[in-house]
Amino acid sequence: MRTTFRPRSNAGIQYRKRLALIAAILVFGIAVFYIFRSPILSAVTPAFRAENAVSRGLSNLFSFVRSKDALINENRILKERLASYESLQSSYRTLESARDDLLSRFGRAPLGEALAAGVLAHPPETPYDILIIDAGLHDGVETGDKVTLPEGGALGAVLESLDREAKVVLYSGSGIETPAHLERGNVAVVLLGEGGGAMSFTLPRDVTVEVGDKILLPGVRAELVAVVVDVELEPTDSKKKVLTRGVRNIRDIRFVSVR
Amino acid sequence: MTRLAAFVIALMLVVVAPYWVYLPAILLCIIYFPLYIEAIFLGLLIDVVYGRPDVGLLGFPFGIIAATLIFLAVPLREHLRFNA
Repeated sequence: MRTTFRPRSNAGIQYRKRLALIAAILVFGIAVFYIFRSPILSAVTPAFRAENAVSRGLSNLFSFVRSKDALINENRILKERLASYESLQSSYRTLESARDDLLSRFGRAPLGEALAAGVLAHPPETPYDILIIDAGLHDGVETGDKVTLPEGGALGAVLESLDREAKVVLYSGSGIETPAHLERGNVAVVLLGEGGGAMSFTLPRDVTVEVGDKILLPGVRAELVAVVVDVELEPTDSKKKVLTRGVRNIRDIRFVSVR
Repeated sequence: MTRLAAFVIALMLVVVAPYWVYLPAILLCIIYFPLYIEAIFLGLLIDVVYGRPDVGLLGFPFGIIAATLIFLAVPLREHLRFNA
């Protein structure tokens, strides 16, 4: 009697072997990278610093090849803008100290000194809305600390503090929900991060909201977190979607305050 | 040698370039080189450096995606010709 055996598929075995190899490398890699994440980030930090230095150097280099008239004109505009910002800042400082004074009368101590930190990496280098800053546990930065712009405006919170670096997740990070309130009408809203510095929230169609309206964090200090940039309303919808942007373009942030 | 050079270039791009530069570069390497395991390490590096650590295993999406793409690229490569 003749028996025919089905030939074993060599290609199938090869395919399964490759799958097992890839899975094994992935599991091993995840374990190694998870354990050594802090040294890995520390090892990458000098490259971030070098890249920042090079990009700044290049931008200075390009300024040399521009025409003298354009530079003079730009210098004049920048001086005017600087004077305007300085007066705004002094006005802001006065208001801030008046606010702190008022709050201290109601038993609320003024905020302590903030720690200044430089931004090592920001979007679009980071695929998520995450900043890597050059201060960590060694400098007193702890997970959960609030991060703001030096000139005011809430940015996010420290997600992970390593030895000399920390990761900051921005309120605009995809899927992140932040309770806040709309300054106009003092309406409570929940900001939903959409990535790329954008946030959104929904409101009943009867609630008035306009482009430029401010969104503030809850709390006595009511820090500015976003500004309304667009309102989407379909005639058939009972709610409208409000699109907002963070206080500043996340790609331009160079320094932050941590407290 | 080309493979190593591609890895070094991709590694540098991960550190200094925007994500819309380094992610397509890694994808091209996965398609061009057979069983480009290095992409898993590049993906894990992206996850560790730029990712969110508060989401556990899901904190390694690029590593997992790279591994999946390498696996999917195996049959795809059999239908591709890289020489004229």
